[in-house]
Amino acid sequence: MFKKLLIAAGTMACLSASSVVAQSMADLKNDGATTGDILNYGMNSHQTRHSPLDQVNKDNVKRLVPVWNYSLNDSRGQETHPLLHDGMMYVTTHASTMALDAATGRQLWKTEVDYPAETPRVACCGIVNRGVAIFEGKIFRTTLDANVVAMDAKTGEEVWRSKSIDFRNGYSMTVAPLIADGVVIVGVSGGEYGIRGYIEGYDPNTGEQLWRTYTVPAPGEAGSETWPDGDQWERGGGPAWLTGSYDADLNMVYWGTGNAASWNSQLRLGDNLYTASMLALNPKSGEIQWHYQFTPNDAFDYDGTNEPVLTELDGQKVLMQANRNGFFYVINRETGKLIAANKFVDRVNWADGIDIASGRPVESDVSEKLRAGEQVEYWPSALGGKNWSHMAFDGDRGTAFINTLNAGLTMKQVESQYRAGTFYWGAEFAFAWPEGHRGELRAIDPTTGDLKWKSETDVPRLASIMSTSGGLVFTGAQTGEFEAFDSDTGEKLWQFQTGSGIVGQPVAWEMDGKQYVTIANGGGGVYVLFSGDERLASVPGGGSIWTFALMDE
Amino acid sequence: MKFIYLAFMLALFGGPAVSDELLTKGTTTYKQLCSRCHGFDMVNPGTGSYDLRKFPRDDKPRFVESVSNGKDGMPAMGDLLIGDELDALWRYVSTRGGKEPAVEESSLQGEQHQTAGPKGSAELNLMTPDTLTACLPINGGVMSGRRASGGAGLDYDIAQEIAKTLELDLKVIWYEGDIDEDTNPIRATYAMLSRPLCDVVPGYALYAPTLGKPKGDRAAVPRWKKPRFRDKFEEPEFVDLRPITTTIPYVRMEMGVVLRAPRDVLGFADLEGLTLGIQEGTLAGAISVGRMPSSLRANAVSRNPGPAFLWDMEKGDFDAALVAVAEYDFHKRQNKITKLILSDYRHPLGFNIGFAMLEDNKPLWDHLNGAVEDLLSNGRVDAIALQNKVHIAVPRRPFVQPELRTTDFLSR
Repeated sequence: MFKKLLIAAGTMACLSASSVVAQSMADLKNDGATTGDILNYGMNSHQTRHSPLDQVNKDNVKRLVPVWNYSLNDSRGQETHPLLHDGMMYVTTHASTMALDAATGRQLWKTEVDYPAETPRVACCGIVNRGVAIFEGKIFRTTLDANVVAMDAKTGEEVWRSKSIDFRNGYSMTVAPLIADGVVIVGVSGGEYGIRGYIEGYDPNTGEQLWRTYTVPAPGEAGSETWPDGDQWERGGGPAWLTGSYDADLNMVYWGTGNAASWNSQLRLGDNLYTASMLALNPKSGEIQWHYQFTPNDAFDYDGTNEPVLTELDGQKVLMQANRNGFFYVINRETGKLIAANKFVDRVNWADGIDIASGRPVESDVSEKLRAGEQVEYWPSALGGKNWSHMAFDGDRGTAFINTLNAGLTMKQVESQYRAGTFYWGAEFAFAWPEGHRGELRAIDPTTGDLKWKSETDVPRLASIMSTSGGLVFTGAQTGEFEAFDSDTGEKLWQFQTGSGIVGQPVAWEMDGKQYVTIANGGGGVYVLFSGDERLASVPGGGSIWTFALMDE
Repeated sequence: MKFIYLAFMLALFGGPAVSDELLTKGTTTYKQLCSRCHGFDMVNPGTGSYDLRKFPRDDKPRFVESVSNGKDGMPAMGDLLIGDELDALWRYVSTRGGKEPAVEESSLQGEQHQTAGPKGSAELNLMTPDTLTACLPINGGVMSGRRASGGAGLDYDIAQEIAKTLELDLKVIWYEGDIDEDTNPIRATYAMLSRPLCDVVPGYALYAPTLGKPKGDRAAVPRWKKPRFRDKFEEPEFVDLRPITTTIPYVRMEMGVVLRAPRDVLGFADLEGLTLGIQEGTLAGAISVGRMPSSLRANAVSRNPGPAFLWDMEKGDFDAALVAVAEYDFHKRQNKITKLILSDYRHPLGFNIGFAMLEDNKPLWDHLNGAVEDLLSNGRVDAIALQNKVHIAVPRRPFVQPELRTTDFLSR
């Protein structure tokens, strides 16, 4: 009852404020505690993807039923993270932005995204979009052809549009923007196309570009000593295609960077800063406060873009990341100093471990052979021990929930020829799939990496995860099931077949005292395209938004 | 004998059927530009993007149009392609990544067959007017055999029936089908049709690597009986080979498990506790080696293929074996009181059987297809099989079996 009152009060405050300044920085900061709205990618600016809601719990989740469905009218993979404010839910596809009545699922407005027909050829891993940001009455999104767009949150009318860069040279955007210190922050995609990656900030009111921080320094700039002489840096990679996190108290933005390009590491000897790294940025200036590099001289396509999850462990403000390279990192987010790095998947053979003092990987003979030009089979594959699909962190249980991948890659480095707007591999490769299951939902202790439980699947899950204080872990399968697991035991308690594969992001919210859970379905994305897993031929495409609530007793 | 075919197909596994510079270039270009949507090696679930393995192999204009200008969700790629990269991509896609022979622009495969044109609408180009000349092996087991008056066997009877449907006389050239080191039935077929010794060779498997352009320039015609000189064989002669094709199939030949004692068999796992016989050097033998449960390995026995194989089984050398079904039928015909039983299990891999003929005789091809369709629809094929006591299966799509690799049959 007490909670209901709080919600009511919160809703009223929101309504009264909306005519003046809605979704202020204070609102964004408190997002995690206000269950009547979802204002941040990752359900709060720390990206824990944990909801304090507990109305839906272990005991009653069996009564979870769909209350509405909304067709996205699109057959690409759907990776959108819904936002919710003032009873309006905001979702995206690569081709449109939509506002829905959260109570009924009815469309309030829909704004098409127009991009040139050639654009999809610069999208390596699926024609997707991951969602909007919301701030002071506007919503913000990126487009596949690398534009940043602001729309009126009430009407969907375009307020401004800024072209970030010419997509024809391999640049694209799929990222949901981050709002930090009143700045709209985005990162660019294109790590397989020989781009020079960057993160940039825009003025939310005018669309003016406030700053751009390259993830690969030009000659003479700090970090350029980690690149060889020559022009490799101009197409050195380091994309920034996943949304970062924001610590408003420290006023620091944390943003991961992707693989170095091409994949042939011998053509760019050196650490290749700031590829495969975590960057701490000043949101107003874009200045780098500290950096930590996960995979120096990346030879494996080990993007470091995965979400930085912010929390406190043993009194320290930390940042956690489950990296593609198979290690779960815990970093002091004030200083960038490494605290712990443990394997979170069973098969990791590119490195024997991470040296905590130096923060550097202890590479194995497999890596040595790969760098010597031999063909090797390394684990995890380029898809990573975990791909982009985001983990959840339940602070009360001290448990991180991760959809892991069980695959290796056979690779040999070869000459790479750059041709603008096309793949810039520099390697020949093929996936090494294991017998049996290719994916696991894992619950781990972030400090030790210890496994608490796991749930295996033949076709791996590539959906994000959400945990709730109802003791539940929500995620989805590429075969279409939306699922709820027991946070403590991993037992699957509930599932619902949504009719198309799920690679989306679950969220939970509350309205008029009732808890809802929402997810986008619609199969697609990197695994479908690259695995050639024909078991998915029987799972139709076609995305929609599903919202669930408990059936009345 | 027909089942020996399978042994020779096995010999063809391994390298790609098509291998050339254009293909190599197409492979690289595909990886760089197309793989991100259409999958590595063209393998994708086909739900989010087009499954290129389904693209019509004889429709280059459509391919060029779609790639150059885009199609539905696919962006135009024309401005990215340099030089002959578009041709190279077509080579890659139309050969299914080099696994199947290239299709000539005007050439047709059984799969693209429509309906036969009106009879007499075009010249049939027969060797002898109003006569269909067919080459059949003298001792083709249950499929064909020479008799004092005419011949016998499934292929022989089907050929008779086809000729009758087309209001033609059938003339059979009997050739020596026994296998020795210097010959194989595929090259023999190319040679007989190229010489030409006959208009059609019945009983030919629709297997992609053994159709289209010949793999070599010249081959020997097998020894055959000239009607004028009874019991005298011609010496082998070499001829320049020409591309061949086949009609649509009239039957499908499969492999089954033969047993000494009744038992329900759904797969190799059900052979637990038996001694397995392995036919050396044949497809059935290779599958047996790949699929048998490890517990059977120690006791399994290997034997040469041929009629003696099932005799050895009859004698009790082993309890179970995977063989071409026609082989069992032949054994049964020769030994009416056999103790051997053919189980109901059929290995999923089978071959559709049609008439081989020269690729450039479209009028004849149209007429033969029409006649085969007639025979299939009026039940004559089934009746002939029953009469010959041959187990057959209905032809299954895809009519032309793409090239098999070791992994294809070891995983089934």
